[in-house]
Amino acid sequence: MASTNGHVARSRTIEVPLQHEQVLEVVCEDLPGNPVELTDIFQQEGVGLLYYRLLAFEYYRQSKYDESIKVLRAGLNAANGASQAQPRQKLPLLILLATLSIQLAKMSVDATQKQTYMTEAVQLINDADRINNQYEPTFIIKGILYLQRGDLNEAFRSFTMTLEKLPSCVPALIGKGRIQYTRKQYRQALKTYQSALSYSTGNEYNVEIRLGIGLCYHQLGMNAEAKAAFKRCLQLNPSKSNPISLILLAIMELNESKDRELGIVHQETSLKQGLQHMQMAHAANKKDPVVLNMLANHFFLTKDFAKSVKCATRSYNISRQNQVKAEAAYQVARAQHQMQQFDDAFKHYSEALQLNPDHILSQFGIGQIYLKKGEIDKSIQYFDKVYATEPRCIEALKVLGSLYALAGKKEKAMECLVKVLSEIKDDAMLLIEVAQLSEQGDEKRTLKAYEQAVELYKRQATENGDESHIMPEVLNNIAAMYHMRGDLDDAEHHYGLAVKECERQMSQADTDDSTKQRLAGFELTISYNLGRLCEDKGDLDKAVEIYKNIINGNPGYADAHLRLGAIEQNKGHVTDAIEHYKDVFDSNANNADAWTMIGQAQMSMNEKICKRSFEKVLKDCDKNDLYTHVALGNYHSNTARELKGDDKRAARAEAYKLATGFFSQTLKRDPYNVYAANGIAITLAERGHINEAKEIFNQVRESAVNNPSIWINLAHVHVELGQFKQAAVMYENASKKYFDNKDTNVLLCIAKMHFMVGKADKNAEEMLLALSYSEQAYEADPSDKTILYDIALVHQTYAQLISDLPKDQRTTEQMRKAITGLEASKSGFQTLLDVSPEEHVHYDRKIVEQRQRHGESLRTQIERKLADQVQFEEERKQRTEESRKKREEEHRRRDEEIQERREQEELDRKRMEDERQRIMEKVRQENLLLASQEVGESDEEEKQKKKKRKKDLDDGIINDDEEMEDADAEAPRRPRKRKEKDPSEKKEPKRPKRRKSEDLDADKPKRRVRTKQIIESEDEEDEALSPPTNPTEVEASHQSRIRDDDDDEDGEE
Amino acid sequence: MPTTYIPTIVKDDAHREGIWCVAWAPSSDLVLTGSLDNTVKCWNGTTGDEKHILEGHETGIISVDTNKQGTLAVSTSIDSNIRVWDLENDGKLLHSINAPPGQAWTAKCSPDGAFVASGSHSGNLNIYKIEDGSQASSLSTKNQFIMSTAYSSDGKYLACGADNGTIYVFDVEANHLIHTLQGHALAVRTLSFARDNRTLISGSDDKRIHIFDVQHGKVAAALTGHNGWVLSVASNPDTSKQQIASSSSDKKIKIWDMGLHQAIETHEVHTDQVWGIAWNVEGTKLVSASDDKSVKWFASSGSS
Repeated sequence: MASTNGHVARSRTIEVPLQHEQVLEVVCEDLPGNPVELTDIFQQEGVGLLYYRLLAFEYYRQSKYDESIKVLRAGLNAANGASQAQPRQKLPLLILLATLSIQLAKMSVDATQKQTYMTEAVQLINDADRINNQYEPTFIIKGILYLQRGDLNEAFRSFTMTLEKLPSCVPALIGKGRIQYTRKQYRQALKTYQSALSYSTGNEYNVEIRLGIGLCYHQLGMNAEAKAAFKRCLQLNPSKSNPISLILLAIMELNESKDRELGIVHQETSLKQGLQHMQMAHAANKKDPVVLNMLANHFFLTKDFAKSVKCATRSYNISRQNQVKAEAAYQVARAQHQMQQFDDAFKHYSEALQLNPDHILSQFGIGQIYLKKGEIDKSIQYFDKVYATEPRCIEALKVLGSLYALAGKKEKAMECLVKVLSEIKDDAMLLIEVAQLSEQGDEKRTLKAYEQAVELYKRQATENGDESHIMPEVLNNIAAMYHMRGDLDDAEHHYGLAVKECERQMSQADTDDSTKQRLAGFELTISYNLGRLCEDKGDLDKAVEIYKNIINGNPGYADAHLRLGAIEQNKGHVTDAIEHYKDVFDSNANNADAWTMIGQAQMSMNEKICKRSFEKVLKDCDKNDLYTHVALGNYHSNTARELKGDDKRAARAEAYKLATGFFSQTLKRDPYNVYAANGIAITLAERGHINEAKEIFNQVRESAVNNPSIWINLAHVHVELGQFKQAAVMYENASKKYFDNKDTNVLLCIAKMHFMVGKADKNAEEMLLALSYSEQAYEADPSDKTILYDIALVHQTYAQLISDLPKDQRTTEQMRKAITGLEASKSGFQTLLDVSPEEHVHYDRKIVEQRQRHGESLRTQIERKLADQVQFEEERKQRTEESRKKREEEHRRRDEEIQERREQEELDRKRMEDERQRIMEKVRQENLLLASQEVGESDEEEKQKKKKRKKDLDDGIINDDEEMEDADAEAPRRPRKRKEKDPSEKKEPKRPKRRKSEDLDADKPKRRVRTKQIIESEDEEDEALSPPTNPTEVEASHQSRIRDDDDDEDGEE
Repeated sequence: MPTTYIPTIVKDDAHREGIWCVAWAPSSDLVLTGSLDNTVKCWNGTTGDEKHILEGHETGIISVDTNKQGTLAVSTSIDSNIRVWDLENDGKLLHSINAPPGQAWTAKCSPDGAFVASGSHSGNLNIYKIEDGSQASSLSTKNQFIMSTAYSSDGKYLACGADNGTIYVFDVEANHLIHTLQGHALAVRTLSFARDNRTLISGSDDKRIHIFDVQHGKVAAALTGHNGWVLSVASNPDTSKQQIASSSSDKKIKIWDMGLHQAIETHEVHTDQVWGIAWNVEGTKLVSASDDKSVKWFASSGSS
């Protein structure tokens, strides 16, 4: 936007007066390429400076800046050489030259060259100032210079100074307007431009002013006015179409085309016009960077990426403004991004950001590229920036949410996505993402999100009139969620849907091969899941069939082999199971899962080689495998436990150390590993650090409430601490809750607890409980002979207990039970002794023999005591009988008394009732009499009333109701009188009667019940009290015990 | 057409402890249950009323069976004690056979009521004469603990199942082993011959029920569906129905169609493992016994 000094050459020729009245006609359209031809003539002819200026200006108009400069320099030379020339005449030449320098500086790309032009301009202005520092054009050009330097204040000052002197100086007004515009003082700018317009005469300025006006209008949101202004620019200069106004118009129109509020028709016309104007702009100036950027954008939108890059690159090369350049770089990057030239795109995005750090779209792009490269953290950084500057950009928030999810920051991800969800309700993909995010933690939310997504798909489908097609992945995930929750039917339904959807997509003609492959793989997953479902439903045959099908098609599908193995292992075919596991190695010799399963299977067969399998996992497959660490820890822990006795103390300690090592390694990798913590606690407990172990178990229990082994271990710890009752409760709960009461070990633990408590408290009932639990264990696993030993031992101990109890605390029944128990115990021990000597047994045959002998002697003891007991009980029975009789007698007596009293009461009542009825009757008659008499005899009435009351009192009956009625009678009499005539009069005698009878009815049975209860409870008390407990006696009777406890406990274990 | 069996009579707390076995005596229409509380109880098969308590065992009752007519009952307890009861005489104790320790586990009565067969820890199948309690014979297997036995209803075959899953079938008359059936790998806790005397049904800790063709010694089918040990199987005496009833530690009772090899109904009425299941002789009713101390009856929708 050049501004020049005042004059505008309208003629297309310049007539230069030469010497001797000659005139040189210079045709503007046909200026010589080298101006020296003309300036030489000018010089020789001593032409006035004005003509140099005109010529230079003409060159300038034609953008031949160098030539123009040459002409001006020649003019200045001529002026310097000619003595008659006044210095002031040089001013216009100097100013024009300065303008040109500034123009060139503006256009030059090279910074040093730019600098040279600028210094030149400064020099020229200084020259001009030396000649005359009040020359207005100098102020203007100074203003422009400052403007070019970016020194708005100085520029503003220069323009204002100019305007003080020449208020109608259009260039100064334009400069001022521009500064105001840049300062975002749009209203003031508009005013300035408008006054410029009123002063302006030529079209040249008109365009520039109107552009300014249009921009101001645009900034002020007056789009219609802005467009009118731009269009006016075009009208003003139809031949030389103005690229800037065209492009501004295009931008505005294209923006309008994006504005949905305007309606589709308006949008389309805007788009069409915008594109037209854009093309016109391009036609007008093929080198305008803004136009080129617009064009690049257009090509991008029409997916002509190569052209887009070309335009943008050109714009980038031409443009000298950072913002425009950044936009160009962005356009290049975006097109390359779309063409998947990620490295180039990245380079250009970065460039754009270097040129303009606030270029949001480039930040977005670069974030996407980082995402593509897998540098999630960096990507997050960029999207964070985008979101920070544009908090309303849901798109960025969505991406950010996904990125956080990828980076594993689930909470942040959820936070973002939930925010997005609150904005957009109908984004099924988003719902699915939310569902996936919450899959690990929040089952309910997951299912809800999935269900919403499915619902949404369905709705969209019905709106569009299609069948709903939900991604099979989603269906599978939903099914899996149901599956894990235990809703097996729902799971099956959804797996079925997923398979159907897979097949539908496969059968579609337009499905390409890679998609088909993906779908096939996916179908495999679903059918594997279905296999798991069949297993969970107990339909093992179908599960096996499914797994075999999978393997037929895909022999390398490791999980199917593993499941086949697991099914066999559950059936007890451990070797077959291992074969299945080994099948995995055909496709992957280092499959950690397969080795782990093999190790586990070997462990279940009690084979020591399991250690090798586990170690193989750590060595060759995955040295961080948590499961294997725990398994090895357990292995060493078990080994340690088997190393009993003092001579193996060192080996035992070593094994525990190894076990602890593995558990610690696990915890190092996963500090929340319940199994490892449990393992460590076990080793602690085994080595006697009971309290520490308890601490850990308690902690673990809190984090893994449903882990049965923790409960069992805690119970074990309570045992070690001697808290048998608590332990028993814990064992029983665990047995019921987790083992359906059929885990023999747990049952035996419970039995042992009751045994210990029974022994400690001399409690025969506890001992019987121990027996019951041992027998349950034996029923569950009759092949375990040690249980037989336990049962026999419990029988014997029960007998011992009964034998040791004082007479008054045992019964002959119990003693007989003890004897039959001893029988059973004897046969049990015999079974154990009969086991062939070759067979390895978990009990000491010698101890069994001792036990059996002890049982025999115990039996003779008890049989001897039995006679005493019978006698004792006989006596006691007599005693009880006597006291019972006595009691009965007493009760009978008491009953009689009660009966008598009751009869008496009845009589009293009857008498009272009769009396009462008599009185009532009398009152009624009196009332009737009163009613028939006149009101005047009220005194009489009063007397009678009083009398009646007295009588009532004499009878000793105090009836609230009646008193109330009497109180009423004291009150105004008239209404009462009327009342007495009413049927209510009948109420009077009736009411007390009913009450009385009610009381009687209620009282009678009640009292009877009560007495009965008393009698009963007394009976009970008597029974409970006799025989009376005597603690000292209990103590004394146990001195004869000659039993070693250690022995018993060993047997129980 | 599968028949639907509807829960009818419920006897909660039928015993003081868990109930481990049940049998239905044909002619006397008595249901017998044996429990950890050391007693065998006899119930009216139609009304569910308690008739007799058979006392005498000193440890938990692990099996109870009757002869074909239902005149005799045989029960065994953990301590290898076998007791024979006279059901026609209010359950009078006829004999108490004290098998050598460890020589008796679950026992079955031969259809003619002359013998009792019981497995042992040592792997022998011991046969005792009911008449005098003496041991008639001992059939030996491979030293694995024998957990279950079954007579065919014609008395020709005697089968027994070991704790390693092997099933042995003996020819009773010839007194020798005719088949060793493989298929299960975990303990076989229950066996039942179908009325055709050729089909043997087994239930195992591997959660499966196998149907064997005894003549050919082959597995005809494996039924899966239980989610715990199969504790009891019983084939429906009504051969036209082709049904098996099973009970499991998964607390469920299932009715299977032998032809379709499919479960046709499942009952979840017990709150603890169901140790025993038995049919009435017409095959119209079922009775189950569980560790939850209850005995429960089921009747087909067509029967009274």
